[in-house]
Amino acid sequence: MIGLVEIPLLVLAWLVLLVGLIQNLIYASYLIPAWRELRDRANAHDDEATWQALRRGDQPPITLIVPAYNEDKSIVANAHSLLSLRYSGFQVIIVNDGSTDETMTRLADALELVEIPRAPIPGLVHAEIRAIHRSAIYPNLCVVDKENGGKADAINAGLACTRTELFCVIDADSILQPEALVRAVQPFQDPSENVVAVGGTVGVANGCLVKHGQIDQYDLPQEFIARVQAVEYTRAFLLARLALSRTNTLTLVSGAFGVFSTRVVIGIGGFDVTTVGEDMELIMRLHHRLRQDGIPYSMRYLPEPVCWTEVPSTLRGLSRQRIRWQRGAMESLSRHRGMILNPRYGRIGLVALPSMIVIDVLGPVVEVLGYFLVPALALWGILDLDFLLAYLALTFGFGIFLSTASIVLEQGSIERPTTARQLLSLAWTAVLENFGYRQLNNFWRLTGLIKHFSSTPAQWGDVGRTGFREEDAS
Amino acid sequence: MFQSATNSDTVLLTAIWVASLVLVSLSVLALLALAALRSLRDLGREREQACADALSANIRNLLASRVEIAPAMLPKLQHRVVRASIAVLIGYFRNLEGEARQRLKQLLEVWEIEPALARLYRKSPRLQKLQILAIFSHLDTPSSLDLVRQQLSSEDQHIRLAALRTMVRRDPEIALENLVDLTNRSRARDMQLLATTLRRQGPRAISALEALAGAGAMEGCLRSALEGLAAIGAAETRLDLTTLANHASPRVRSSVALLAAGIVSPAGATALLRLAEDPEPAVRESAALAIGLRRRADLIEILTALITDRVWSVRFRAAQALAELGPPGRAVLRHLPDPGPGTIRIVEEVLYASGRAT
Repeated sequence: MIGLVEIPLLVLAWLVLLVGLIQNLIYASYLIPAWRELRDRANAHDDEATWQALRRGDQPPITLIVPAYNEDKSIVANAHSLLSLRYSGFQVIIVNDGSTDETMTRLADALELVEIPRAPIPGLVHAEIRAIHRSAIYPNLCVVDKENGGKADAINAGLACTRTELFCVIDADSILQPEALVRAVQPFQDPSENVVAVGGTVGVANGCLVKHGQIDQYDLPQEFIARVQAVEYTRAFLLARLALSRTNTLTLVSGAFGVFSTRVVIGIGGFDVTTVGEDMELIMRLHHRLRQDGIPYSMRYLPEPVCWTEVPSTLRGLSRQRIRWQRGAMESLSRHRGMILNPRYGRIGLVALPSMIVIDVLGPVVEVLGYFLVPALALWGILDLDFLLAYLALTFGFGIFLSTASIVLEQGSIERPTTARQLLSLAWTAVLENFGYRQLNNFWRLTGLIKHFSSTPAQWGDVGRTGFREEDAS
Repeated sequence: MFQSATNSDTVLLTAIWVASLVLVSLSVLALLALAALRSLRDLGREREQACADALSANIRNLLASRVEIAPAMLPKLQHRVVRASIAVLIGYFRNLEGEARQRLKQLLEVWEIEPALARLYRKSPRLQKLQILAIFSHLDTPSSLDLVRQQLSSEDQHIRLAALRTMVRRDPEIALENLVDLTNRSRARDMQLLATTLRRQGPRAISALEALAGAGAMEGCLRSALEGLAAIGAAETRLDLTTLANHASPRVRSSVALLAAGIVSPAGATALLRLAEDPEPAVRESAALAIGLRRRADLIEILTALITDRVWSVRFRAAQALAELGPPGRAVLRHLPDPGPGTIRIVEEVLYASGRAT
């Protein structure tokens, strides 16, 4: 017989189980549209279209905006890497966001910068622009030197100097695939759709060998903490975004790589400089404004890797990043809460945002609660073996299934350089991820949630990147 | 009450962990199968690469030697050799010129690779088809041209355009119905290539494009035809530009601007005047852009009006166009009667970019 004290605990335990079940069902529901998207792309022979586009050389002009803050060690190499992209007409605008190190001096020396007059487009929020320079040796490279204002602020300054119909935002420490831009602009060239934003798969570059600013040899990261993120990127980012792209409910285009319509983004005021999740906020605002104005639009996500980035390889760096991501998601949700369950906003309001609430708001709270509650109640004898098994199945079993199924879908549908040995290593990591890493990640997300609600000021922090593995010059 | 609830819940709980076990087992098995397939794929690639390397070395030696090439010197045309030859031949054609290229063509004739590639073409995926078409664009034989010509009516747009490119490279006259068909079925973004082709076909292509534009074409096709005519550089047209300048779609009106700027008769200027007052900023931008591109100094009045437009991007395009017009345009830029601070910065930038900053 169950006593009055146990009833609330039992209800809580069931809540944990049900939220876990709903979360897993949402993730599982992503598998089918993601699979269909991957299948259609495989049918479309995207590689061939890219090959054609490269031969044809008629890509629309595009500007790469690269916000840089204290990047003096790598900025010149990264600029050269960007300048070597295979694309017929592109501009690079590096925005020095008030760096306190030698970033500006290094750029000026290596690229022979000359100050030019240029009229920034008015109406975008950004800190004061000190000067705009053009490289004397690379006519398609500009450097905007401005006061410090944060990443979104720097992007806005770059956007104000953009003169092309499309712009691409990339992190200064990311490596683009040579054909990344050619791929990424393809959706914009489809006259049947009003594409306003395109995101691309961000690959984990820890472990890859970098040569002349390009990924020369693919390999999985050596460190477990980085390798597990490779699995996580596949499951949570690639598949979820593919599925959301399929249903035109994409809620995020990663800040590491995204291509946007200049006119549309300027039309909504550019990036929001008051949030730590400027990438998600922009996408939410695009949905909000375009649906409000009744303008048909679409956002696309490319499954092919277009950008490589170094993920944090220390727990400290990773925790900072995840707390920041959680806060960014919460800020975006909070600012656009008017869309939630509002039929005017279609699938975004009725499906995508409620799913986000289950996954990003309820998810960490309930899952962390479950780590303590369910084992305690099982030891107390209130929960039977079936409940405990079901809870373990949801926490570990479905986690392993979703990760391995994501890897199978991705690797089976898109041409990847992954060898059989690396695949097995990924599979093993997908199993291990659920024992320790997943729990830690949920603690960080919960911390982000608490910090958001307690209004602790958000801060950018060093996420502990160590630099790419470069080929020894000797 | 709790007891009955527990009984029904037991079914749900059991279903969850059984489902989880089944799904985990299936996904892990699928992953293992994928790893096995990946091993086979890598092995196959290694063998094909080895075959391509050997073939490449063989051809290099034969091209370098002065001896007459005999069929026995070349590998038998097994399926793997034909497949491997594609990348090798594309590489050689890209890098060889003059006499060496002629010798390569002789080698291919002796080797009889062309029929083998044609057979492989029919069973190939798209990328391989495109590569084979790229090889055929370097050959001189009528049979290879026949295969390419057939592809002009392919259902696949990429193949159609690759075939068109191959035809352009080999430079035979392309049948008019093929051109009309291609124009009708191609997307606007492929018009650049098509326009280049049409330009080679002479005035009859203008008639084809006008026929397309005048036949109540779909928006995309209409734009393609108008932009094609503009790219060809049509100085006269039978199309009613005034009607087209009032088309419902702003994109079409933008395309009309590009064409109208090249038309020397008053109809062109009339249409541009109408488009310069269009409610859509993108259309006004196109009007300014087109006048600049065509360097129509006689239409400077239109640009003088647009430089004071309320939309920043239109003012910028008008300033760029004025700079394109040369001294009269730059004089207008330097002596704007009452420019705002935003316009002054635009003018400064445009003058700087055109190399005339003082």
